[in-house]
Amino acid sequence: MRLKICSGNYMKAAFKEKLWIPVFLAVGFLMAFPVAELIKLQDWSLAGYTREQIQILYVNLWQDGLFYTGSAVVACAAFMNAFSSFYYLYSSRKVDLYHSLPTGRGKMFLERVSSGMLLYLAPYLVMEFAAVCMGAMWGFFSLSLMKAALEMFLAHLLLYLLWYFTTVLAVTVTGNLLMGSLVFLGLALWGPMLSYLLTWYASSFFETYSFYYYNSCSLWSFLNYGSPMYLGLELIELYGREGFLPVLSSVIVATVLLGAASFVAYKRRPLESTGKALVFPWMEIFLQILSIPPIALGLGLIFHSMPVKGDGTPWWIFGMALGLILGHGIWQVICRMDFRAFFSRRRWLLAELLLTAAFAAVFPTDLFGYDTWLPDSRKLEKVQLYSDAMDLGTSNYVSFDDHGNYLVSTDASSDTAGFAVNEEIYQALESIVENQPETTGASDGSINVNYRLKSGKNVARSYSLNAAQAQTLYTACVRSGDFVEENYSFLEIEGRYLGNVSGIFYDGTMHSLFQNEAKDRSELLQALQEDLLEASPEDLMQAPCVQLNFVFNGMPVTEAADNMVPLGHPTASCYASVNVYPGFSRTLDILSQTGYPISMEEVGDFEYVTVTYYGKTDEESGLREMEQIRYEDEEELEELADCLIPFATIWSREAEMETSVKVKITDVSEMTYMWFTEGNIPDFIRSDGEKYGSIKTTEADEEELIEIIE
Amino acid sequence: MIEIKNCTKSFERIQAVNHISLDIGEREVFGLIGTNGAGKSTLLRMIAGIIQPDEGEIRVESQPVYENENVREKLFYIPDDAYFPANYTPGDMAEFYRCRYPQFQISRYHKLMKQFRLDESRRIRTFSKGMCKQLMVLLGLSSGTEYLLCDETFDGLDPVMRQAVKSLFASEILSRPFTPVIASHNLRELEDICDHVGLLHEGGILLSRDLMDMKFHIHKVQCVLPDPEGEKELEKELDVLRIVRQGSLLMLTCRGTRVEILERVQAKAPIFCEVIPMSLEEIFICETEVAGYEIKNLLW
Repeated sequence: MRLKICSGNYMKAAFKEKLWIPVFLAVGFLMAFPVAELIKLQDWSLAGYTREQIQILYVNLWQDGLFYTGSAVVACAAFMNAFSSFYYLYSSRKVDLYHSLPTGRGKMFLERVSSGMLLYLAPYLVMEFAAVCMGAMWGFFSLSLMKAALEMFLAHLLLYLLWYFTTVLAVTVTGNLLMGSLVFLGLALWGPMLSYLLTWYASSFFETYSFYYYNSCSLWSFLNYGSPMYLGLELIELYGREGFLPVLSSVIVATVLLGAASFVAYKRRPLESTGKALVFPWMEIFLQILSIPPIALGLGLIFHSMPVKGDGTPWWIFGMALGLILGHGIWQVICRMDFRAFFSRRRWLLAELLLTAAFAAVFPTDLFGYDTWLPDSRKLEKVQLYSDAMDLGTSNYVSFDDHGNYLVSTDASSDTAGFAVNEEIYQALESIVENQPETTGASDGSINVNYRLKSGKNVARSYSLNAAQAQTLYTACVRSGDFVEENYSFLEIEGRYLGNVSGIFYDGTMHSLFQNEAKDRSELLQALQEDLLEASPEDLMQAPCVQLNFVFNGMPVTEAADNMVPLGHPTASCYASVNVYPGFSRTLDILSQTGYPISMEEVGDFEYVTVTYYGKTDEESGLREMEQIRYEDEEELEELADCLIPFATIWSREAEMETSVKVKITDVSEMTYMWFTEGNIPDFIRSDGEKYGSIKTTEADEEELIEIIE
Repeated sequence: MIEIKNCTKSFERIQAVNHISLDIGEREVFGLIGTNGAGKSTLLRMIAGIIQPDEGEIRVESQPVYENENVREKLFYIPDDAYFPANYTPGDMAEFYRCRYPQFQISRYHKLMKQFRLDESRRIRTFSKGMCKQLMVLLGLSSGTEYLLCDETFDGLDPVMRQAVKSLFASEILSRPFTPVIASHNLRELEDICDHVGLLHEGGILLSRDLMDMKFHIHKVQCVLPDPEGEKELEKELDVLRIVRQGSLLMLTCRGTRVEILERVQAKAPIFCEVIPMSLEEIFICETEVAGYEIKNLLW
């Protein structure tokens, strides 16, 4: 089969109406390749980098920077070529011209794809060649560079075809520009939007949704891969990095599928449907089912989140119903291009209603057990924990790469942090999952858990827990053997990188320590390390007396591949926060030399204490009752001094009363927040608490109370 | 030959073509007559292979048309409102068609363009509607195809151009296998060019006849007979389609050859007798009245 594109006369005639495309792309690729390259080369040269450094940066530019800039132009090229080649399908006059010619549809499709490809390749290759020549002029030319240029060309070609066929498919299955645009947007955004919607639903309805880790809904993140745009962006992001090959395979498969689908659609397209919304009637119900329920669910959730007080469920139902009616009606109007069609196809509306209701029912009922899910212990490799109420995961995570350089990340973004799961930890987690305090009304705090499965998948949850559960889990972690290594990984950093050290002391004041004495800072760090290594679970269960903050600077890190900043010696910083417990004798010995208070005995006198008592929530207004009492009596202040602590973990503070305590200490300018210690509330505070309704009751307590009353 | 067998085409609830069977012979000018919405354009587009019939088939030289490149090289379709790519000149269009039609005669094209005084280098978007139609006809003739499908092409041409095109068609038919199929709603326009005429109405074919055959076998006679008995006998003897009396003048439209009809009339010793030529429109009206259609209300 000889294509007409092989004929010079044909090309001349066919390209005459599309001359603007290669001109536009030539300008685009000129900016993306030679101009961008020239700018960077000049920058590096003027920055005073050595030739070797510029060589490395230049090779990286071909593997990274130029790929980004080129991809933007490739996207434009794909869209423009596809649209200009197949837009004629929206016009009866044009269809009559092209399809009355003695050319089969299959051949015509290939001719159009080929001519579009030529319009893309010509300016691309010219400008890429110009960029290579420019580099050669600067003295940078090698086989590895040519390889990088070839790889970039192939990757860009794949991206071009992916987005090209996406556009062609949208045009070939629709009969007018409006529907074509909608289908194109649907292809590009449906998967990611649905994934976002379901994630939003999960965060709104599921109690254990974690906002801390990024993978609370990895279950439906696969929906993102249903979007050719997302796939392409993933390819761009992972180009030349770990994880590139799986994405590359997905893109190749997607491109082939889209190409085949657009070919079949073009061949089978009934040309008399030009001007209609959809050329294949069966697509109407298919697209309607895919789009209307998500619109209804989305609008429902918007209304659900609007009321500040009270239950949002009635508004949720209202929003879904409104979304269904509006979505269905507008869709019918668009399909039929007639406003009178708004209320047509009522049976389909019923089907959409049922589908929406079925989807919606999953979330408030937790039909699939999201909140009670716990992975099988055999499938679990590590578990990552974060809770500032237990001093877990509050410091940056430090590890080392293959070159021996530091890798610093926040706990949430680390790929390797986590405790190896043993039976004790698993049982503690099991207990937390099965006895969520929401059901019993006894929540004292929360913890974010990231389950690292052996399959490589990560699943995150957030749990409420009471003091006993927290203690059990924390003890299990301390006994696990890698507690210090995991929770205090910053101790791996060499002492010479230690910068600023500060502490929050018993009176709530914050001070920088040993600012001019690096040796003292190192000794403090060393003492802390030794205390941590020797600490028993009981030591770590006590109420802290000081909170230390460490800042490490200048740690060498490996240059990131996508980092276009000049080479040098890239460094990183690390921030760590550690509780110091009464059992940390070495640390406290050093801290006592500073003169800052490390126990209540060393704290100045209380001038007054303000206690805010939180009562019940008024059902009508949604506001919580509050009463603020100021205590100035000396005896009362003395009693309070015996039972207040400035730092509280979930198990060391009093959980029975709902109060907020602020103390005015002599010689301290700001008020200091404090907590009552567990089981240690003065009688006058308790009676005031009972008076203002601040005593927490659980369901069990309420049942007991009802029994007593009866 | 183009064979159309039981073709049907519907657009949602509208049946544009309803079980049409028709044969279009070679080297004859075929006229497809019908009002707006009769199905002419749809039928032509199906013949051209642009759209596929819902039922039935269309064959050219015994081969199906749809998605058949070899057959479609023999067809050139001129739509009612032709599209020309932006910024194209007639020269560009010639190159466009030359790449598609292997028999395209570029020299013939240049000659025709000069003859019709159309500027090859001028942009087509500056042409008038009539000039665009002329251009399409010239491109169609130059393509060298055996069949030229014209959808209301003559409607936009001035009388001089119309005559010129008709002459071209005639000379083409004489010089090579060439069959123009011309769709129009203007019967008078096609009267002096068509050899065969098909009448479409509401998607169906009412009539398909050779024009000479029709004209040869239907005549209008004006006569005055001496007695009423002779009139009654004459009405029985002749195959009368219509009788109109104006006083003693009797006007009969009847089937038969001119010689046969005159013989019968002369046998009644008429006071006056004359055979009047019938226009194509009058013939159509008579024929379709027999079929029960008030076609006179549809044609002008």
